Amino acid sequence: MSQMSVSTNLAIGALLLGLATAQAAEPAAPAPSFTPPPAQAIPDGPFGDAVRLGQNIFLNPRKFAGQYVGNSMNCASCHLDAGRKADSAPMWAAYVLYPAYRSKNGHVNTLAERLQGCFIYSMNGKMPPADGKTIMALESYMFWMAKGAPTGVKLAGQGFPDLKEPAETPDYLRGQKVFTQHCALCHGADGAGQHDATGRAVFPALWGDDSYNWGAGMHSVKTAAAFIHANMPLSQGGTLSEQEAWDVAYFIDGNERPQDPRYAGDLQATIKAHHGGKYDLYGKTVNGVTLGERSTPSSSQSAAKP
Amino acid sequence: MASSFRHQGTIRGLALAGGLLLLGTAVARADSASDLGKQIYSQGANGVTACITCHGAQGQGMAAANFPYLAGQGSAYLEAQLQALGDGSRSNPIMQPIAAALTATQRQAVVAYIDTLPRPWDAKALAAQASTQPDAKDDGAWLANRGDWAHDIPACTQCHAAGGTGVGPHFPAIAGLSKAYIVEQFTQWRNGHRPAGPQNLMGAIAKRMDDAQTDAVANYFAALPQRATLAEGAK
Repeated sequence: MSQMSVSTNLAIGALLLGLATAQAAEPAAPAPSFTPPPAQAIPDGPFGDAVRLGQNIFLNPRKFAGQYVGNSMNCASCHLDAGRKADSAPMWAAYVLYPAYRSKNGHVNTLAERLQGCFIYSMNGKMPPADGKTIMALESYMFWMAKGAPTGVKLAGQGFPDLKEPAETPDYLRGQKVFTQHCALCHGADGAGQHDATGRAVFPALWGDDSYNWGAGMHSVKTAAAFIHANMPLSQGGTLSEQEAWDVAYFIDGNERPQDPRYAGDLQATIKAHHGGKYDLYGKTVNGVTLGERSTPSSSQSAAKP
Repeated sequence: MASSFRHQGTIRGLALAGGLLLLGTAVARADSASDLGKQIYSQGANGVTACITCHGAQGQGMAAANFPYLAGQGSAYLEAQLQALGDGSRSNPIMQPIAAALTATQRQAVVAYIDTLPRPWDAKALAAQASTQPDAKDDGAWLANRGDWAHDIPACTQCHAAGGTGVGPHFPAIAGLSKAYIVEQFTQWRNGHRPAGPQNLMGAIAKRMDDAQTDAVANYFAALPQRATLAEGAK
């Protein structure tokens, strides 16, 4: 967010709370860095087997956790290098931040609940049980990757690096131009991605029925812009300008995708309870389409129906 | 697009007339752009060597002599290569005069014909060779399937698909190309003797890879169809 709010927080924090300003003071004290163990170093034995299963799910969820997956994306589509890459929401940095309060659902979430959210929203799928094999394996993979990291600390490289507010309001047509020039080669002009002979996504769908749904974090233009700027085009992270990243994120998230699984027939009620803000396009009219009004039901919704 | 359809229409007319004269109605049912393409592929055109001489009757290539397969490669990819080989931006003394001799229409026709040839390997069997956890000591398998992200090198399969089968019109298959051919491409990207490819993707990645890595991935992909066949047989 803006420089202003950080320094305001800092001043208030210093005045009122003395030393309890760890978060607001973050810019002054750089986040500690962390390097996960080498990917080749997963141990043998039963724990190593669980870690490997978690890694397999992470790289190919349709094959290893197919019953909970509703699209052809992979966890590693957004969390690059099998969840290891800094600035690509790495798993070692996420592991040490849970349990945590999340405004998304208004209570303290365990890591298991957070991972369930990935399946329901980003994978447009169904919720694996918190005490089942899928969540156990993913937690084992993350735990192994975070070995030696301090807990409760925001590590350098966590999440996607925040972008400054855009100089110009993000724009659909400018974004479309960026998309055509830099993204369509892999993701297709229709955003549907490209798939190999087995149906697995080589390049994931960015909108449409095979993409993340309206409840996924990536539907936020701000989140998508941050991911894109740091990581896209693949192997050329940082080459788009921040404005280009904002514009193309607006274009991508300004297209239809599967319904928010929390939708219960009333768009306005869903917006009120779960959406809002200038970078959330759900319910807004973009390029003549009121987004969310006619979305394909999410796969958890279609499963719930008789 | 519209203009290329018009060209094809003209070709269709000519080929049809020729076909009716020489072969009766058999040709009438075939796609005539492919007929021209097939003719160029198997007999050459404008006085240059036919593709079939080195790339084989089914476009399967001749790995032992480092002639790559063409069947199953994306049409946009093949056309871009013919363009680059012809104008010399992709340096190759054998292909340069051949590509340069073909007109744009002839290139399109021959590429369209190649698109009809069966892939020289089983894409599903190859995709099944993809591994989320390759042998830690097999550097080639590791680079192919996981990359070396500490140096911003994605896994080869992130663009060329699991098993190196290629995807779409722009990302060619790489499984089963000969080792020497693969290594030569990396050398050419590094010294500017081959265009960097769409959006400078491959050229930039090639420059981040060292010789040992190049050798390792070349070994891996050269041997992959054989591995896949062996794995299929073992089932």
